[in-house]
Amino acid sequence: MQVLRSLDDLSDYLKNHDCKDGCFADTGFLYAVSYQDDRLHNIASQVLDVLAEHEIPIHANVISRMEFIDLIFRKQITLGAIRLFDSLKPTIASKNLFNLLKDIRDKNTASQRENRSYKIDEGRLKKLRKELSQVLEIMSWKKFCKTYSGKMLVNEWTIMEEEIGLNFVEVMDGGISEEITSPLRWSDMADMMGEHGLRGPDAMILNLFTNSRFPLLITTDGDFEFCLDDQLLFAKDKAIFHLS
Amino acid sequence: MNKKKNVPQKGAAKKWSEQLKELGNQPPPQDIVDRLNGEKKEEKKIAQPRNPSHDVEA
Repeated sequence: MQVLRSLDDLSDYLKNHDCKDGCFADTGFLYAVSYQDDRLHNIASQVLDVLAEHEIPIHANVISRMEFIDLIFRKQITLGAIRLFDSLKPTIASKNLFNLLKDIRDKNTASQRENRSYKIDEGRLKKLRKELSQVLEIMSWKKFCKTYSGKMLVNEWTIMEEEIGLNFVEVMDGGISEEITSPLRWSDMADMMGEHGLRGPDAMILNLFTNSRFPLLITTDGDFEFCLDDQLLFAKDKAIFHLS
Repeated sequence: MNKKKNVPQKGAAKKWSEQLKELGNQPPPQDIVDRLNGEKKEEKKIAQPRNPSHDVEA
């Protein structure tokens, strides 16, 4: 198992290994590709261009796909909330709504200072929906969401997946596929969680990666490196590219 | 059988991130802003159809 840390490392690896089957990527990488305010956006864009040069398809599992769409939706609503706050007078009748929007704007500003891409959490998202629906009506919330997310999650999404080079792997418990060469088991995933202290989605990615024919995992998550000492888990020719 | 796979295109990150940025930079719906700011939308003055009775000479 190798850990790649720079674009040069990645290019060398791709020159010397057959990666035509593709690589695996986590949600952090996909998000970094998508938002310019993410601290890893530049390197992620460059990585994508290197993969394009070598014609390496990117794979993710359906959990990552769901996480990715959810992150994009929450980020777009965050951007919309900030735009709405900037358009409001401080004298608006609903102080709750004004303070919530201000809180979102302030959190975004604080994150920008730390070079992080802020997106509202589930609690604030629900609160925003409740406040907008109460002060106006549910149609206003829907109109707001339509403005900042709308049909993008359907229409442009398909084009984006084609252009970013995304492919999805879906295998049932115990199943194999063209890409997954050893049976994939929930029990192995649960074992990884307990053994390495990984969260479910990360253990799922690691389980898929170790049982796949993909030699390379691209991730923004340093947690995977904690598992590297497990020689039984990884084939020697596999590599992790850690964007940091 | 090998499925045709999506392969990344050069510059795709820039294109996609610009698209998302533009979408997020749109102004909020004006009617929502007006109603929250307590401003009633001014009704457009539409020209009334002429009352033909005014044309009738007494």
